[in-house]
Amino acid sequence: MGYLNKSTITVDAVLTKKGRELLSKGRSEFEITQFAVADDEVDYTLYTTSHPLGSAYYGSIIEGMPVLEASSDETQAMRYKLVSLDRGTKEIPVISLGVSAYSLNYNDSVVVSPTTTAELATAGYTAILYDGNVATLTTNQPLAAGTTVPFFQVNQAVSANAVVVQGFSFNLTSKELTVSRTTQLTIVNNLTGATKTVTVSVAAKPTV
Amino acid sequence: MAIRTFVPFNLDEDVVPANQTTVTTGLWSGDTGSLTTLFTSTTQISASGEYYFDAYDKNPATDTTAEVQFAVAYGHISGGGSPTLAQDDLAVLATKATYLQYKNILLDPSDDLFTFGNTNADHVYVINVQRARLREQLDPGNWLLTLSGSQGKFTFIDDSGQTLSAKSKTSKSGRVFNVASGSLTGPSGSTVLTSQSAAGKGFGLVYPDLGIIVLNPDAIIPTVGFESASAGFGCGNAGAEDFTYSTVNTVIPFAPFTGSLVAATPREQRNHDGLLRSIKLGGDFQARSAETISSTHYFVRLRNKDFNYTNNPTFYNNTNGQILNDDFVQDPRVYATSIGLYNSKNELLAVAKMSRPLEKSFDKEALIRVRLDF
Repeated sequence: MGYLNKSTITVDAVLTKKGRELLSKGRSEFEITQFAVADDEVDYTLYTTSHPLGSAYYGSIIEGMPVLEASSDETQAMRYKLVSLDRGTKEIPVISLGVSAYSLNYNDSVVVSPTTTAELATAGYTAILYDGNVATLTTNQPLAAGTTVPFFQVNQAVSANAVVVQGFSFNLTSKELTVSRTTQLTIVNNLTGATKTVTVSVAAKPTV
Repeated sequence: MAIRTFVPFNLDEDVVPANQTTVTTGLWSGDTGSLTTLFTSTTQISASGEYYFDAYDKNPATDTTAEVQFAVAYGHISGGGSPTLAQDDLAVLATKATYLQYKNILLDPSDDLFTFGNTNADHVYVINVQRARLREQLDPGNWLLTLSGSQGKFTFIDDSGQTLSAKSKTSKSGRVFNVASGSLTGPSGSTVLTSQSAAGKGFGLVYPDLGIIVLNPDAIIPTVGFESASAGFGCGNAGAEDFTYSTVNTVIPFAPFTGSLVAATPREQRNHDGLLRSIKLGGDFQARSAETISSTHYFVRLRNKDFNYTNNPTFYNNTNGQILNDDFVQDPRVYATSIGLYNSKNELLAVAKMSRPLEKSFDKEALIRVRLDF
């Protein structure tokens, strides 16, 4: 007679700020209906196919690493989601913005138009501007009515000065600044979870 | 195969809502179950010592991590031990205020006096556990108070572990049990020797839901052996915070002195010092806190065909999307570290972390139980 395999893993969850906010409004506001899985702190260059002990040990460095405690900030947790794709997939869907960074002058504006393979962009994108004091972020081409909003509640500052909007394309407009500042803009594909982060630089208003 | 990053729960099969679990832990700071040394604060005593003394786990004068564990107070129905207004225009009648305060909290409106066994008591000692230690309740049947006096050391428990239904009652203050002389040993978890003094007076009552133990001085003092106090020789004669002020006996605690004049000077007697001294000399106050936690369990099923690729930027070329490791094209392996729980708006409400990365591939499935406490 052997021992039963204790195959069920038990982990404790912590509420995010959003979770606490909704829970404070009552249990009816707090309804978990789905889950996602992420691997935020894993670096896959640690997967060692040259391991001297062979293939059983390729992932041993990753599996041996300790995992950090959960962050209650929803902008910092679950950044790199695992995704279900067909076996044999050679390419992970990526987002292209056509530029590597946005540089705006005073009173300047640009349209952010992310692209992915056509059939993978049907759910649109979520754009997160991490400092709303630097620029204004609005929707240029909105999603169809009834489309669910991923990750964060739209138009809500989820972290300090962050701004979140959704759509197929976005307007990015500089704000009047006395000194030049930079922040970051992250675009998330609502279907695949693919992310693209670029730097946004806004120049100070010229002095006359 | 549908591309997806979110998987809906089957609410009937995957979610086990509102499991009620009672969690117990050591009552004192650091979740320790036994308090063997006690300290007081001269600052607290000078500010409110006529009403109560706070007992610390460490010396608050020298250790900034010292925390209040419990407070002791003494109450007298007619203000014994406190100066009267006739004696002092600024008298606060601390002992009377204390007695009436706990009477209002613990007794029915029609009840004017604490009754222990079949005997009314004009005065009481009160041990009040600090709220931060208590959490939800003092775990009944799992506390033991050691008092020391001239008769030796005596241990007191409650009788909840003995004949629960017969000896407990539920008042407006929640459950009430009798304090008894006994120990936390024996087949039922505790052994009650007696719940009355030799004179037939009850030792006290415990209100676990409030974290309050009310002791009957008329039963405790003769059993444990407190030194008789008198004007000029009592708790109120010194600072009372260092347990060394007595010139007569440095070991035996003082019984309450219900007079109020010391050398013709009105003075608060701080009679609760006698009990605190007895606890300190007893050297062992064991207790647990109990808390009912409502947990919901979510069963996260990672099926073999799901979650075998990742958006982690070290997994693929961020420009063209090509998977960087050739081994991952036919046999991808990813390592899950986090599970996010979302609502239907895809708002992240809770996060769970693995203790170590969990390998996932097309030939592996995983069942993870995520527990969320409220």
